[in-house]
Amino acid sequence: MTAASGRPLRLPKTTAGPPIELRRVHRWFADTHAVNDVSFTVEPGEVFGYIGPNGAGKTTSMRILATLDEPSAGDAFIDGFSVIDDPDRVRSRLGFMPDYFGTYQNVNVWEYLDFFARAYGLRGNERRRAIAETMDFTGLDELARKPIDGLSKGMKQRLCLGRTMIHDPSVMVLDEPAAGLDPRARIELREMISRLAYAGKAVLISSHILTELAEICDRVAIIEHGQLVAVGTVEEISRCVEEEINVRLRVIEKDIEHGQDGVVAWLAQHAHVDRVVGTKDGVAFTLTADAPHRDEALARLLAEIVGAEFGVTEFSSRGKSLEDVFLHVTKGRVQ
Amino acid sequence: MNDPTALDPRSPEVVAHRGAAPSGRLERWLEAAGDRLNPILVKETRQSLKSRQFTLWFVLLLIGCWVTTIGAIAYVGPSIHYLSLGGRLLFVYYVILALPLVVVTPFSAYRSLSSEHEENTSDLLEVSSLTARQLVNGKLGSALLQIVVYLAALAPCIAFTYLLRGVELTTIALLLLYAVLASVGLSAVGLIVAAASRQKYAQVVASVVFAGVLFIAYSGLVAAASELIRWDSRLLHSDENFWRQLALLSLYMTSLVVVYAGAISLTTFSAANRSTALRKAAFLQQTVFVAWVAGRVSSGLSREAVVQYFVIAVLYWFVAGALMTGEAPLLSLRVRRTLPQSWLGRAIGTWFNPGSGSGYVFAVCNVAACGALASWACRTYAAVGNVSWETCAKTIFLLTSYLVAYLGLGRLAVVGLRRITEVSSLGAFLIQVLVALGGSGLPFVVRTLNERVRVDDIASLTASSPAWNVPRMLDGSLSSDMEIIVLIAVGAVAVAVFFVNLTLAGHEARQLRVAAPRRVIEDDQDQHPVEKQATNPWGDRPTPAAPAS
Repeated sequence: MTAASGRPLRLPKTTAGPPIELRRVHRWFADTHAVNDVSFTVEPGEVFGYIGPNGAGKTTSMRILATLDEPSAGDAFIDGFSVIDDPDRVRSRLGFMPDYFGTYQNVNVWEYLDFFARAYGLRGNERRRAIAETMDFTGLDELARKPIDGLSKGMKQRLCLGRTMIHDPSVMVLDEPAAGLDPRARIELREMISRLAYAGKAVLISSHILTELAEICDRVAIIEHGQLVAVGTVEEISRCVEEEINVRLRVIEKDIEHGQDGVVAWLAQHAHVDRVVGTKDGVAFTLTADAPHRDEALARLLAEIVGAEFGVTEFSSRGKSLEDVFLHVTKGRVQ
Repeated sequence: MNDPTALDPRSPEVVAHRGAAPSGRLERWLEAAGDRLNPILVKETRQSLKSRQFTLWFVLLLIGCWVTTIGAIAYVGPSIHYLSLGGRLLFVYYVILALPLVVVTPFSAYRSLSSEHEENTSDLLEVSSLTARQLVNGKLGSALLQIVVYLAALAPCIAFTYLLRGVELTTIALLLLYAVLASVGLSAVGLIVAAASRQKYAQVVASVVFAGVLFIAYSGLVAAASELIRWDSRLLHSDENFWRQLALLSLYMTSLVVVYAGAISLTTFSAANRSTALRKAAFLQQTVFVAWVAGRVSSGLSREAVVQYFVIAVLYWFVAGALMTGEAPLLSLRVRRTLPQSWLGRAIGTWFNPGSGSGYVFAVCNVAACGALASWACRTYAAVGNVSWETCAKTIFLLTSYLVAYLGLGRLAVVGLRRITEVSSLGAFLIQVLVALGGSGLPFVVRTLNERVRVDDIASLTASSPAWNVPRMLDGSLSSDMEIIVLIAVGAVAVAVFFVNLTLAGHEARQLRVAAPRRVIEDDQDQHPVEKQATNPWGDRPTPAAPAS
């Protein structure tokens, strides 16, 4: 694992237990149960996506992990240290990037990073090396003397990521890091996060841009109304909830009966098929099947189509996207 | 043109050579010293040097001094050689200097911490490894640095006033000391105000009130400076003034310690021990206060004055007690890891631990101790005055009983309310004040509503009012029957309330130290490895175990 310059990134310190662990965390704000019995763990080198609609309890959970809020019940641990009883030890191991910049006036990029390096107790050469590596990693070398106020949003976000990682934490908690960024900045940020995870850091990330999370997250947790409604890899969650499979089919135009129109008519009469649409790119439809028997159902349908003497040139199924899963999982499950 | 043989300035050879040279050593020393500087101080200094506000005030200060100097010289003309202008010119310089010192610097300190909350950077500081102490030290250090810069800018003008004659060096030093102490003290107050007001509306109110306080302090300081310059050398040569100054200084220093501990307590995380340092600071202040009063008693203080000083102590412990009884009743695990273990430690240290019950007992013990000392002083040492020592003792007993009763009743009200709803520390404090004011003000309200009502008719209402009974007890205007009723009634209520509170506080006193989690012990060992101790008188240390193959 190397930084942009090719220099190796520092490895995280040894840890005891999972880097992130939430144990039956509850948080009430007066009558609102913002976080309701949330438990999960994040392993070293894992990127863990935390998704949910606005007000679901993502930020509250993250603030609890960052020791900025306390759970009403339960506890959370960073590298085995309780966020309630040992917040000081948690802080030295955690990098927290909130959903706002938190910048100072009259300070340039280098001074900003230097301040946080000092605030994390880095001294002398160690501090200088940390700043250099961070600027290198985030691509801010050229902007070292530029006042923060003059930075673009993307650059500010990079700077905030740099501030979060300046003390080489083993755990990073990133709250909506890609919010408001243009596509290019998002791709760059995604790459940086992947590299951090590759270096062994446990990364907990929340985002509204679900397609991006799907690409970089090893696992995701979906939270709604303060409760976790699903935890696992995107595939695992998809498999659990998948009842309708999107299928695309292309056939040879042998004759009127055995061409595209024929197959559309044939499929429309099939018991497990729905929403059949013929387009110039082929036929699209949905197949209803039990999640555990998804592949068998597909194979059976293909055999039936071939058996009906249609010349199949293409038969593909698309798994559910994270967005589909999210919408499916959160739809009215928790009230 | 580039010389290929030239060494890179960052190459090890150059660095080693530079390190060996005296300038290199100085550079390394400065670098090491810079590393040890408070990060907040470094950041604030960098920001201040680039800020328009600091530049503006600095330039205005210089312009003000130049205009004053040139104007004064031009106005006086050649007679400057004969007139003793020093005092008058010093006053003008002081008026100019005191503004940035007493108004601008403390308000900057307040704004500095307040804007951390506004801009959400306080969250970033909280999640860093900075401690609350470092944060407060950094902000105070930054204020101190500004003070030094302003003083340095004005130093030539101040020296000039001494050369003009008419003012003593000690007066100049004293004036500057006052300004510096006022600036540091008000900056510390600014920090505590900023730490306490985190909500937007509270910040707005606090800004306005604090700015008002600063301008009042500025006016006060300028007025004091005028007096001081008028007194000049006679001030310190007067014995009484000398001791008064010293007493004020010790009061200031102990108050600064309390405010400093308060600011740290409000800034640190909730699981930390927010109370012990503050209680120690309050105890220190009380000790210093008692020492000064003892000094005055030995030099002939009257009995009435001793009681008056005791009233101050009671008011002090009522406010401190009202704040302490608002603390959370449960000790965090983190605090319980550091509880005293020995019998003596538990007997004394328990009341310094955070907690509502321990706070109540702590305040009561302090007032009782002060009361005992005051009674003893009235009987044995104080000048006789107009009041018998028995009257003084009765008044002291009554005051102590009122404090014990009101603080205890207020605490019980808070404990009861906390079973139903959440009550913040500020809310608990306000409840305490309301309970005390309600009880005290009752007879006055009745008299105000019906002026024709006789005192005898409302005798039963007056028993609850310290404001009614204490002055009457001291000047002997209470009837002997009423005296006995009040003493017995208030004393009995105080004893009952104290024992109810003591019983409720029992669980706080019974808390035992808990062991730190294994992970914490491991981390401590990683960070501060302890060398194995010798296992025999010859100092042989155990040999490290051979690594497993």
